[in-house]
Amino acid sequence: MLVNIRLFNMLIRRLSAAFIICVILASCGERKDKSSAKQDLASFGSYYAGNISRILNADSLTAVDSLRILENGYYQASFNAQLFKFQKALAKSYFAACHEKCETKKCSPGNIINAAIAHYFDGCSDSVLFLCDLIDKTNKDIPPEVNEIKTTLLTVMSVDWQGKLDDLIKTGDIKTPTGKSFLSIVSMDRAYDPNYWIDNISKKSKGLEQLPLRYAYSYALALSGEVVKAWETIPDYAPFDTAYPPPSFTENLVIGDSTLAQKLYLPINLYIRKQVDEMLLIYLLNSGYAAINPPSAVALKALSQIKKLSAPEIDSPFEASETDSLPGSFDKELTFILSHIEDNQNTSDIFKQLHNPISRAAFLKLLSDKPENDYSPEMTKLINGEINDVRKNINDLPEIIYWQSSIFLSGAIYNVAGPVESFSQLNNIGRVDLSVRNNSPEWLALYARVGLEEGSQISIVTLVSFNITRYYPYAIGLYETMQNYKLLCKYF
Amino acid sequence: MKSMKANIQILAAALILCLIAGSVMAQFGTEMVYYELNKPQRNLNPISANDLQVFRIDELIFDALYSWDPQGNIIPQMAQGLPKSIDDGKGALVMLKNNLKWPDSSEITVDDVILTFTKKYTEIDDTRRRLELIKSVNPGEAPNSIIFKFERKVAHPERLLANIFILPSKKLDTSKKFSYFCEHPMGAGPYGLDNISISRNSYYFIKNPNYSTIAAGRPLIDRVKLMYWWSKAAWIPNILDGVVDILPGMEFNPELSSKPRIISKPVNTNTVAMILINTNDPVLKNIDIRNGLQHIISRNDIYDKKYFGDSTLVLTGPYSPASHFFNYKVPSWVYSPEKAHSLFRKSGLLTVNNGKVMNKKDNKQWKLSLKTFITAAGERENLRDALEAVNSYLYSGGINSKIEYLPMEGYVRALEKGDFQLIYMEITFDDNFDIEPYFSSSAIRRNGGRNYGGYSNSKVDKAFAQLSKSSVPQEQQNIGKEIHQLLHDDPPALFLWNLLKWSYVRMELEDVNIMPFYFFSTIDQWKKKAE
Repeated sequence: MLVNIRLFNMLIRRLSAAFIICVILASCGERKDKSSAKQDLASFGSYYAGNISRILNADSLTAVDSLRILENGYYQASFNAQLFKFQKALAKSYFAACHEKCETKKCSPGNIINAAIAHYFDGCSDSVLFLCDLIDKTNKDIPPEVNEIKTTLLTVMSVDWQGKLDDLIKTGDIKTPTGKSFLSIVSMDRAYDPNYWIDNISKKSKGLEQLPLRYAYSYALALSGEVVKAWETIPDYAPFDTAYPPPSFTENLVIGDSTLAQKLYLPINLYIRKQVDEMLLIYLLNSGYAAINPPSAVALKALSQIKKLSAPEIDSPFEASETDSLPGSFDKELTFILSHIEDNQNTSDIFKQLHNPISRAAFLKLLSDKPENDYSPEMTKLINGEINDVRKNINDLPEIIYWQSSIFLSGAIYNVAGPVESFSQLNNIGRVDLSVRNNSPEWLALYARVGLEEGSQISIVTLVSFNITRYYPYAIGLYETMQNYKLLCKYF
Repeated sequence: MKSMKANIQILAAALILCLIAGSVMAQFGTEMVYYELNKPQRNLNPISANDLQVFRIDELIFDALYSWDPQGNIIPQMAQGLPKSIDDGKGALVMLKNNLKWPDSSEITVDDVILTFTKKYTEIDDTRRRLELIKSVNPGEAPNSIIFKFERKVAHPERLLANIFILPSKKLDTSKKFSYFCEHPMGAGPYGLDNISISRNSYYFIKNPNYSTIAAGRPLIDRVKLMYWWSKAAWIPNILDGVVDILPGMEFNPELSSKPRIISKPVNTNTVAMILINTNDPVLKNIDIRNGLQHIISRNDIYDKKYFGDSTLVLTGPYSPASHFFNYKVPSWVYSPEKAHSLFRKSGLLTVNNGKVMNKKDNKQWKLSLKTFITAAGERENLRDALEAVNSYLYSGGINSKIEYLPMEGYVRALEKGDFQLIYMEITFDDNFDIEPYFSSSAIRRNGGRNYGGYSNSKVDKAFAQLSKSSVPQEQQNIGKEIHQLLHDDPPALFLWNLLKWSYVRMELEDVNIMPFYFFSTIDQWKKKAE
């Protein structure tokens, strides 16, 4: 651990309550100077990894640093979780387009396995089995990566998967870096010893020279408890590496008289990135960084929980009586709604007690997660009303409030109204040019996914994915796939 | 010219003839829409893609065999189902729906479709170059059937035929009638033109009484009015007060974006902005000098400051990032006056003394003129500011530069006659981004060609030719990306930025979907609820 513990302890003793006001919380109550706020966001909003790394490696730690590292961990985990959802949606949409919507049964084995992996991560085993079966019916050359991933998927889908998976690992039949990377994460997610994969990858010749295996290695490290080290070894992490990473593999497509190479970007690397980011966030929230400013840590834990980022349970610094006497501060409001969300208390009663736009939006998001609220007109009305409130103040709200509340509200309206209606509302929340500089990257990733599913503004979705790519080069596959998607559905 | 076959769906529409209308509005009153229009004109030529505003008006009046639904799926419009591929993909059998009627209740027949595609009704150049892929159109054996033959294999004829307006043959049985028809158009679309009021800057449309023969129960709004306002200041109160219902292609407006009663949506109009270089100029013909100019301006700085956006929308070549031809590996042009000067020196035509770029021929400071069009007060200040900034960069880079603001007619004349050194231009494309008419050698003199700068590059020409022959999308994409690189390396223009527009819609107007190019393609499904 790279934190200077002595300095850290000293800070805990000396920092006053006033001094440790969290950046998030401070911004909730004040209006910042617009230009400087934008400047800040342009840097820390775009380079979460850079900021975390800088602080992790700093010789000394300030109170602001401790908050910054928590916030960046939170933003980073939130963003990549959303980006991963976009990638899964894109893999499925592309399959729908080449199988049915824009072409009829023209999907390549790579397109199909891409969708199969997306369904696997969503836990849809029937779809996975259907797609694996479809690969053999394409009558096309099947790249080894596709065969290997298919074998892995069929293995873990079988009734006696444990023994078969063990055999598959031991036989060494899975040889390609991408196939092996997938096998490793599938097995580790099923409690296979990560140390086996650490040894396997690091001791094999060229194991760590191959990008897919470097991702798998980081995942194994994280699961073995070396979270910070794992996070630091994730390859291609902006701003350390601004080069575009290669695809998972390429496959040859024979079309008429032409043989063309098609690049495939599977949602494996982003899955690992997302998982490691979440583990890092949990680690940070449980670490000494959080101890410097308990209220801020509580707020971030609450926000993480609402986003289902596997955040640790809240160890609230507030007395029960304090949280019951709302209105209170932002962190108290969040704690309050988390503790009351499962109550059968009247929703509107709780909602009325919330005053901060983020906690109001977060509460609506939590409510929208409940299945009984699917397509509920009352919920839709409630959420749209809150969206309108945000819109009224869109040019005056501090960036952080705007970012966080728009993300929760967008997620909420998507949950209750589906992509077509919610995309219309999401458009109302966007700012100027849908760029990373002017919008939250996490919200852009959410917007892109909903826009893709809604389907009427594919050009805009393509532009948004490109904007994201410029700041986060590891997302290049999303942009390239969007380009191909457009081409597939328009050419004659 | 068949020698330059269109390979990709075209409909590239130059905004150049109507740029003046920075503000377009149209209105549905109690029964209408508003939209940003150029000053009304009576000629509503349905086959020209030159004038984007006219093209969008024609969307109300005309229908096609096929169109796109809001989710991007191809749908039959006047055709019955999707076409059947014949002759190994080099032909298609299309069935026309039964009992279709024109607004005057006469029958829509196979003859109308054949006339539309054989284009015997006019000598006017048709700029829809994708139609060059159609070799012949004839009646099929079955009633209401039509046989299309293509120049090459076409995998999706329905996409090729989409949005090509079907014209009534009886109104166009002599070529002389076409010009009259353009002013008195009659199509099978959801609306008929009722009146044009030049003094009120308005077009009035009424529901086509026979549109139900194409789509039962539609359109859902009885009357539509399209209006033009020259003043930007009029937009906001007009839409807020319900004078208009929709502003479909506006620049971002913070006030409208914050009004809950107004739904705002970004619309990527596929519009790229550039400063075209005249390569007939003896100095600008030199590739080093054209490359040097790329480095003498800071696109990022100008775009960020004047458009309040993010420099990710700054271009690196002719295609925007929304295009499937955009090549992300092509680097940005870095702002570096030193590099620019170095390239100027390398050209052998210019030199740099004491920070001034000198023309070796006369040993005087090199003069450059940038032409653009005059915009009304309150209109497109950011464009004017951006061009002034470009001029400042040129000037501070040691060039004796100036901007010439021309009235629109003079601007268009200068553009078409090639009477410029540098000239600002915007091009709006449909989703197929066909740039061949702008940068291929054959387009310099070809009817309908728009290579105003006289640009010529044999590699680019070869790539365009390959693109036209290819029927494989992935191959087309590779060629397109190569063209992006080629036009970056040997630039015919200073490619500037992709322009993102927004549409603002009053919430009473429902089911509105604004496509990037075809603003009104789903207007028959729009509905307006009472307040």
